Amino acid sequence: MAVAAVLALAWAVPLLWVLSSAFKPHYEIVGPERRLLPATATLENWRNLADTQGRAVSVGRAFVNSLAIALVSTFSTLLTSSLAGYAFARLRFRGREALFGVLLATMMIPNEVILVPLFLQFHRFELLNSYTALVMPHAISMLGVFLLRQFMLSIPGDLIDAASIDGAGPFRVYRHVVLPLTRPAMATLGVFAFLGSWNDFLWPLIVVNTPDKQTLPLALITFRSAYQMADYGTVLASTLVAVAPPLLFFMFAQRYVIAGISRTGLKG
Amino acid sequence: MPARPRRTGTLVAWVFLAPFVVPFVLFWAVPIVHGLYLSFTNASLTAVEERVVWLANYQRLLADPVYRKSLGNTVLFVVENVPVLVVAGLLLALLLNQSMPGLAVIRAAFVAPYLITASAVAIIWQFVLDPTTGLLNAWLSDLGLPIQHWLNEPGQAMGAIVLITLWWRVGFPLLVLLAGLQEIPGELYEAAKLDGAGAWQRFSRITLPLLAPVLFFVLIIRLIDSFKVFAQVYLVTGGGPVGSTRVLLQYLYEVGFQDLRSGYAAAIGWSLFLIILAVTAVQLRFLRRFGAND
Repeated sequence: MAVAAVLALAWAVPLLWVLSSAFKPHYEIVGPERRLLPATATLENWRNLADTQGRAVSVGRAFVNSLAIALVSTFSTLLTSSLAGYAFARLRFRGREALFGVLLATMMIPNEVILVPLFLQFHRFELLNSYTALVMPHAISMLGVFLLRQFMLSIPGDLIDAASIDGAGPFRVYRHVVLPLTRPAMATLGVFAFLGSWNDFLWPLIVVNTPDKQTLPLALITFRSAYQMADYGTVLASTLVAVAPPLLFFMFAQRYVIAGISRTGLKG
Repeated sequence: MPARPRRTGTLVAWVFLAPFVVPFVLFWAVPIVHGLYLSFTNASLTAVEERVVWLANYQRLLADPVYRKSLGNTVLFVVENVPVLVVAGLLLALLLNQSMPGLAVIRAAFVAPYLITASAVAIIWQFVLDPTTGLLNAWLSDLGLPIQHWLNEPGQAMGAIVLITLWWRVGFPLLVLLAGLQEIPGELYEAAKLDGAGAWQRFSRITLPLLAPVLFFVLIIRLIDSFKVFAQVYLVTGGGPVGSTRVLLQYLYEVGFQDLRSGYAAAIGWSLFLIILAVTAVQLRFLRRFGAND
């Protein structure tokens, strides 16, 4: 018990340090006068973030970009996965097994294999450095279709049969019977999709080349070089902006995040 | 017993499928095939003429000293990172597999780093590990211990990356193994205790065999992920010092997106996939034999 608590504290220290340092003057962060808790709490770092004095960086813009891209990606993943999952689990159509087989087979292929061809594709259609390029790779999820299909297979058939006898077509069955019952799996997938998009680094690094399209993971790195690691507080304040939303969400929906990690492994 | 699928027209099914299948084809299936084709060409965003060169890219990879060095660094990372993460995850899971006050908070502390982006991880750990201004060396010298170069020392940098990755990623093995432990019926331990089995015997005869499938799942997932290591290395060390931490994906990034040699970069990507496939196949084979003898 005591061992677990001490280790947990050690694990939490780096994040708590970011939280406190975002409100410290820079000399209290590192150097001889460093302290764990601020002696003189200040909002100076946040003023620097808001007024960048001509530097081509904007944490607000990056936050809005990240949020919009993650929300659109999450919504699209949930919608497309539940529709396709329903078709694979509950509808009978020609080529179903073959198509599902293709899906399973390509799930094994790592994303990294398509980085170059996908980049060339967006390059050819002059869509590099666009929101389309940032959203599309996150807009669907093979794993999501698989998870929701498995979950929908476990829904008792009687419920669906009863609805069908009452004259409900496949769309109404999907919307009013299957979807409400799939909520726990959707929550898990939603967490997975949101974090995958919010935290993605490599794909934005490849397709973005102007500050106005940067997402937070890229913007943090731009901040780091713009402030040359000298204005520590400002860099750590921007770091706090990037890590706070997932962590706050975790605090309020721990159950779903835990399920999301243990069932999907998330990314990375 | 699940109901039989409803008899509906193929057309209706495709209305459900299309929103997924169209992007699946455009942004997944087509690039996979295109990438394989590219890996057989000398395609480049700078060169004029694109030719099919068949296996020439793959042959060049075998002789390319930077590729071989990057592959070696990647394997070193895998060999260090996978056991460290799985063993740490197992120990933490054993530690947390008991009822105690504040368990949710303690568990949250280990899972929280798993939720943050690689850029934040890199920034935090550079503050900690910087040889001159870093917090870790400051604490070491306060305690009268010798300071270390950490990221600036070729022999130490990869070790530092492994420790950073441990902090960042341990939540996954911890949660999966903890869930696995909680599946093991408590009566088994009670019975073993009555028979006089010690703590080690209970662990090696009950916990380990029953946890083996979950342990194996974690091992495979971590192994695959570790071969794809990139962001935390690229952002913390940039592949340095003197190339000692440059990994395969970083080389792919440099060749494909800085030198713009698409064909060669595609070949690096496919080589990574083939390596992962081979390692996974060996693991599964090992599992089958291990399972058969059990």
